[in-house]
Amino acid sequence: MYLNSHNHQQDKERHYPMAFPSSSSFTVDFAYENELDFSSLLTPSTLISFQDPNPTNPIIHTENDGRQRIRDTTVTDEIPKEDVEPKNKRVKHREIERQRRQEVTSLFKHLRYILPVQYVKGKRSSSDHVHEAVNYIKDLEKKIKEVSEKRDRFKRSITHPPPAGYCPIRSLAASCSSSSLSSYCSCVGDTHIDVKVRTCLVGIEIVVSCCFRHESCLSRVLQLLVQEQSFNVVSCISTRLHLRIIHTIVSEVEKGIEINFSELQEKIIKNMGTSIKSRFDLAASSLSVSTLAVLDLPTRMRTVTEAHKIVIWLASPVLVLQCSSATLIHYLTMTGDPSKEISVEWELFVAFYFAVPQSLGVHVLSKNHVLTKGVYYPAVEKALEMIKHKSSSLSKGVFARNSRIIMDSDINPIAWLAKLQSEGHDPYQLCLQPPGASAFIGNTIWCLHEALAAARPRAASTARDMEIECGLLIVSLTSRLLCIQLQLGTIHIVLSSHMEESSESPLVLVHRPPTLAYMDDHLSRNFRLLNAHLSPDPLPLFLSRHAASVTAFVNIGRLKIDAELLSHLPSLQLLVCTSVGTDHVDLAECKRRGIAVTNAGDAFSDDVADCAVGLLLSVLRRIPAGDRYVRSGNWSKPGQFQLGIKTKRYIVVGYRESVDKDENYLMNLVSGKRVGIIGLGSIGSRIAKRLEPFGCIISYNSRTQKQSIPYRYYSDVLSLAADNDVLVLCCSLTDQTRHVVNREVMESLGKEGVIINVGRGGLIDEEEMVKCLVEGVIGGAGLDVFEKEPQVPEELFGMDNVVLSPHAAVATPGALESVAEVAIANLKAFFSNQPLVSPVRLG
Amino acid sequence: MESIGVLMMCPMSSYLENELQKRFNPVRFWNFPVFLETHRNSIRAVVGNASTGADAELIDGLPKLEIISSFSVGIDKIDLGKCKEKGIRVTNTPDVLTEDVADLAIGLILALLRRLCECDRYVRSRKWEYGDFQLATKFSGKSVGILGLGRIGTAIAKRAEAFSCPVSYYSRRVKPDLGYKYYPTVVELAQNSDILVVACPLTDETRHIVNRHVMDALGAKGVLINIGRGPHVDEQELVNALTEGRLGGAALDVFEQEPHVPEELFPLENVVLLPHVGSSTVETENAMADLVVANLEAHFAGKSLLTPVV
Repeated sequence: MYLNSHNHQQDKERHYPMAFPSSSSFTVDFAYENELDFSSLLTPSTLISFQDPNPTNPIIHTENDGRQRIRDTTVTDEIPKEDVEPKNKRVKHREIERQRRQEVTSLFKHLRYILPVQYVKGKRSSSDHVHEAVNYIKDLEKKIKEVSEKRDRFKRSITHPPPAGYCPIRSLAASCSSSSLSSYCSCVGDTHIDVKVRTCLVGIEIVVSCCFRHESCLSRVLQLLVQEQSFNVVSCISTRLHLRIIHTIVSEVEKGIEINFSELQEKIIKNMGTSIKSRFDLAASSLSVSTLAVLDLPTRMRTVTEAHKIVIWLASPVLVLQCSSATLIHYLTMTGDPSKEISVEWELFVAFYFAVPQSLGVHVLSKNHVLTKGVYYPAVEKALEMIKHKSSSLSKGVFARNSRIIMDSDINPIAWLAKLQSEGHDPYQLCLQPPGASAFIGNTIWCLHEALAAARPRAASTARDMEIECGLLIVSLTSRLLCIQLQLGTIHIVLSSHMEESSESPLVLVHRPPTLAYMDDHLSRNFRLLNAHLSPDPLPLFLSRHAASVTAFVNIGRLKIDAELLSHLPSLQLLVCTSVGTDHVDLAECKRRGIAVTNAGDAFSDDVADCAVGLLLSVLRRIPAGDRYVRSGNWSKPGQFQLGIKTKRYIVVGYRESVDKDENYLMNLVSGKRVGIIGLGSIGSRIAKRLEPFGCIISYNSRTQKQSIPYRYYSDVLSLAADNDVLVLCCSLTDQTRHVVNREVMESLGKEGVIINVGRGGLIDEEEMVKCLVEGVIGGAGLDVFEKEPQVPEELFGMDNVVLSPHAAVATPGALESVAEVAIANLKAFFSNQPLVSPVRLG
Repeated sequence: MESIGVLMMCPMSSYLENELQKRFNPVRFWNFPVFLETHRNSIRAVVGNASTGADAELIDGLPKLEIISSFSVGIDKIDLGKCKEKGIRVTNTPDVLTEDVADLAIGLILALLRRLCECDRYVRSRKWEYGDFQLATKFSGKSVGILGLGRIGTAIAKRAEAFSCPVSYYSRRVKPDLGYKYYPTVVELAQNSDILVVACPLTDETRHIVNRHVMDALGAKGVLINIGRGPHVDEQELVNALTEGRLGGAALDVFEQEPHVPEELFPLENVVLLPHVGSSTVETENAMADLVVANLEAHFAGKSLLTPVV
């Protein structure tokens, strides 16, 4: 079974280097192989107890009918005793026989359950099952033998350098058909290395496929090409696909020289057999699965001499970084004189990094890198467009996501990326090149097709495109790729990458008030947490001590995020807020630092809209006041018509003073009320939808008029207030909206007007509002938010035409559940380099 | 008409009193209960409301009584049998308060689920400064069951739909054109609803229609909203269910023995209690008063009544 499974093969081989040094028991080693997990089969008591009562072991005799055999043996055992006490014995025997049969039947049932389907398929009788069980055990024994042989082989190949002849190769030619993706050559002693030579735009393209421990073949091919004189290698890309490496070498061919492809192919293959030791080989052998290798190129380039550049390059020392949690890095540079043009050409690509070689140094340029779909897709499109039309001298660009902004001009991007990587950051890049140049790298699924189509219009190379694409697709899903890119013509690229999925979940900083524990489970299930609120240290101290490398921060509640606090979080890239409003966050500073901010998105909208309508009904219908009145017991007391401090009467049908005319304290019909909504966003439009069946007439004010919405639009709040009975505030608090409801607005709203605030306290001039309520300038207010929460102006406490709520519009379990989901989705998107779910616009 | 004596049973709307004063000779029962004897022969009309109607005793005591115009929709406080027997006309004020009661029903649902009254108490008692308020319950999307899909019930359903709530109902007849789910029994309706709203008229069949079985079917997460009449609900069972935690909560605008409210409810946080204010809004009261006056005028002018019941 497993032999047919490519994936299992992969898994096994990948795990062996780690598993073997510590373990010698094959059962442990094979634990990966679910189908081979037969240890459970050997130990169950069912099988053993079945064998115990039959020392003759009937399952050995399994030519035909196991059941018959069993009966035979038992009957033969009993015969002598039957002569002594025939009747008693017979009864006893029958009983024993019956029990035994029962036992056997239940054992067969167990057997049937244990055996894989293909063994029990179509088998009914118990004897068949026994028979198949024997077959199964035999098969397993065979497999164990095979696998342990294989294990020994791998053990040898790991402890000793691989013999030159041994190379499990995947045939490149065969890989053109999809089914061959799973075929894997594991033959010993096969010197076969697949080489394909074909034309491409700049000259020839040589594709070499070899196994992982056979990287020296690259230097051999390159050396051969250099020796040939007629070739000028432009680029080389090595792509690691599982355990194969596919080297794609593109080379210009000197004019007038005709290349015999098959001859060159033969030559290269032949060359593979002769081992040429270079330091590159040594370096390559130190590349292991969990190693990030960065070839420190710029310094090397100084020593490059014309004729021997490859050899020298290969001979240069390799900087190897150990990085166990590394994910994928692609890195690239650009050709030409980018210092002049880059900034203009790539103006659009504000979201990305550029590594620009300037003479021998490399610059990293970037502006803003808050990456959303809206920025990302147009940028990729534009890049492809430019490349397509050759309107650019640009050779390559780098698109990096979720990276820090570094404006230093003297930085070494390779070292920098490596540093980021080793710190657990996740730079993730897409490289493109114009046609005619050497290569592209892309590692996002959605851009790959375009990149391939646009950047590589080469004839007769679809097979490889497909393959790389396929490989990259696999890679992008599993984060396993080794990619080394050398460009040896004018520029100078090293691309490194690595591969193992990070074993640790990303670290996330969390701060929350003690009562809001609703997200703890969600967070701890997905991330490692750094709980700032649990520390006895003052927050700044805690942050500077422990959170210097944190990239993502979940701020539950209303902790103020200002420049001072952010200065303790130098690596921060993402701030996840659990509220809709982000007025507690210094967005300008976040923008300056390149920190993306997300909010609760739509998670709260339904609940806030419910709350707004509830407050509106409660104020107009005096629900809390009525509740207080009944609870006070005053309703039941005859002759008690008064309620509250200010109210001269409370309208109770049948029990009210009949003369009072103070209309401010009368309840109001909701139907037909004119309701003006300030801020018709996701909450505002939900409020409007809810109020429509109440017969309310809706109008609104917002930054821009919404074309598709039938409600009347007012460009200023003053006239909105003048034309309405109720004002509902649900816009975000910004410098423009602070105190948007001032005395003037309240005066024009009028003495029967009601204000409902579910936005932020700062939207209303609270001091003036209190005065207006006291003076009867407005008729009432329903407030979920206040300017200085949790402090509420005391004057309001005695008013029955005011309904107060402790900023609880969002506090329902459903809303908290959905905000937790939004926050987690944002974090996951961030860590997997997908566009954020609910980004906040940073100015 | 100025000489026609109109007996007003209790203080109602000042607007109504003014309007009556303009046209008739109103007698305020609550001012002169002991002097009723002196007016008994001059009184030809009675104006009552939902809580104070006209019982057999009163009807018998007013020999000249011709019409009872009720300042309410519900006329369960009027002895209709007696009226029929004596040929006394009865009118009510249907329709005008439909919107009001429906608004209040939604208001009560929101106040109960979102704990608005509790919130308000919490802030007013300055507790907020010492800690955060506990969680409330979401309303949008909860299933709403309406007991009695008449004018008011339909208006409630329409409003609840805007909150994305699935609406179902129980009533005597199936109303397929409204498109809501029908349940043939109240218990089934309660089983399938998070929120049960009582909005049917009070008759002998609907008295205590919300009994222990219904409350248990509604369950510890369900809430009961009563904007109909107090006797729809078995109040003692309701108090038991609430205090024992078998029912999630209740919002009541009406009670069995108004204005008496079971004191066991006062300390409970999961109830909202209102003093029968379903129709008590300025606009509606004025419209109802107009209708009461118009019915009386029509009667004494010998025209046909606008909203006759008997």
